[in-house]
Amino acid sequence: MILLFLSCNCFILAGDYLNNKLMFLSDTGRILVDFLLLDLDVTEITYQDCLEFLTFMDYYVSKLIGSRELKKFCVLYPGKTLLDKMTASDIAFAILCYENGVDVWLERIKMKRMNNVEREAFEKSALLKYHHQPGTKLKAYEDGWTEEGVKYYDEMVRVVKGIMANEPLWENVKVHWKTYLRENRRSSFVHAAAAMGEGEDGDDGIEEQGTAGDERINNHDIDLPGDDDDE
Amino acid sequence: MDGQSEVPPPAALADRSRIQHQGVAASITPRPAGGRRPNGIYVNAMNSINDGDSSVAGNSVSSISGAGTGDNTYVSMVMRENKQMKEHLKHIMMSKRPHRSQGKNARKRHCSLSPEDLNNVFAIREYVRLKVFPYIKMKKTGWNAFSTSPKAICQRCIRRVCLKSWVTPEDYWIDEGTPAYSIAFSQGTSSYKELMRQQLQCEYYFVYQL
Repeated sequence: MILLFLSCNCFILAGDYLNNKLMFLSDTGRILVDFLLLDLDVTEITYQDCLEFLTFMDYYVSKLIGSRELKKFCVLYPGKTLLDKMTASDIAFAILCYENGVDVWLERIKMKRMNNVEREAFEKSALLKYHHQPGTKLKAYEDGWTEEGVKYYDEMVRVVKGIMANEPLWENVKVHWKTYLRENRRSSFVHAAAAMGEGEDGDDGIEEQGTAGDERINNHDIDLPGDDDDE
Repeated sequence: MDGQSEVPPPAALADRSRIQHQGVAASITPRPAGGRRPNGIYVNAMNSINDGDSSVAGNSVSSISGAGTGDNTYVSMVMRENKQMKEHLKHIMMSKRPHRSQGKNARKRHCSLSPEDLNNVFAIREYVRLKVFPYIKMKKTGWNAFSTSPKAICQRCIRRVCLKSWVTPEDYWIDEGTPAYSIAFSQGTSSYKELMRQQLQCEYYFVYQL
């Protein structure tokens, strides 16, 4: 009973906290629209303009690597931040996953707060956007993403690579990332890793971004950074 | 009461099991020269053969006890023979199955990996997790086709495993490599999706509060 009571209280707290992490969805159900539509000529960006992107990196993209790997990374490369570690593919995939599932997850949260009568009367309407619905029979070794989802992911990878290739802009974002960390201090490895890189420069020792998907001829061929060392 | 009357007395059962053990021993392996009576070790090994399970050897204690030195070579030979027979029987049973399912669940179910195979699977998983997954998140159609191109997924994985001399790279990739790669890849994507869902629902925050 005590546990249940505590659970209920904490769920309310969590519910309040939730609003801070919900990304703004456009009419077409997309996130980070303003940031991803930046022109390639733009070299300066204000903190407020990239705040949404930084929040997304902090709360969602960082989960792709995990705290242990991040800690390892920050020990190996003390001058680096999370933005150095995450690849264009990581960011694109995080955007895809968020847009794909956010409707369903929010519907589930809504259902959790209902009582039994309301829940029985409630009709589920949210669907996964870029993924086959649960229960669909997939072929062996398929991952379940729809063709639309694969195309959207490829498009996102291209867009994010464009932004990351714009060095002045990306450096500016890194500066804002440090500001973001100072303003939103939390005891997590994301922040610890980034804080270790404060005030230090240098891009040595970091692998180049992967170019998979751009020049692919056969689907079984993949391009990875460090291919020359691999042979 | 009728049922009880049909059960033979324990002494008769003991005699029968002893005769059985001796009979099995005679039919499977030749007696050691010199007409020596089988000692306890032999009978235990025979018991295990009779039961079809080598792991239980030593559980049953024979009523025959006598002098005689333990011939470890002979026992190990019997055990090895037993193991070979079990392997052979396993292959016969597998080939005798009228319909062998080929779906993804069947592939997951019927696997018994040796330590070498496990090492290979582990190598593929680590490679996918550390080198491939940060840059590639989707499996395109036809990704699992075997190719001799050094940039192909299959060749990248095969370079990282130790193949047995009688297994061709193509066979290994089709039978072992493809499932290992696919599972490692799916684990990465599915665990991330779950983490993202938890993050949205603030379950981490919820747990830390407790």
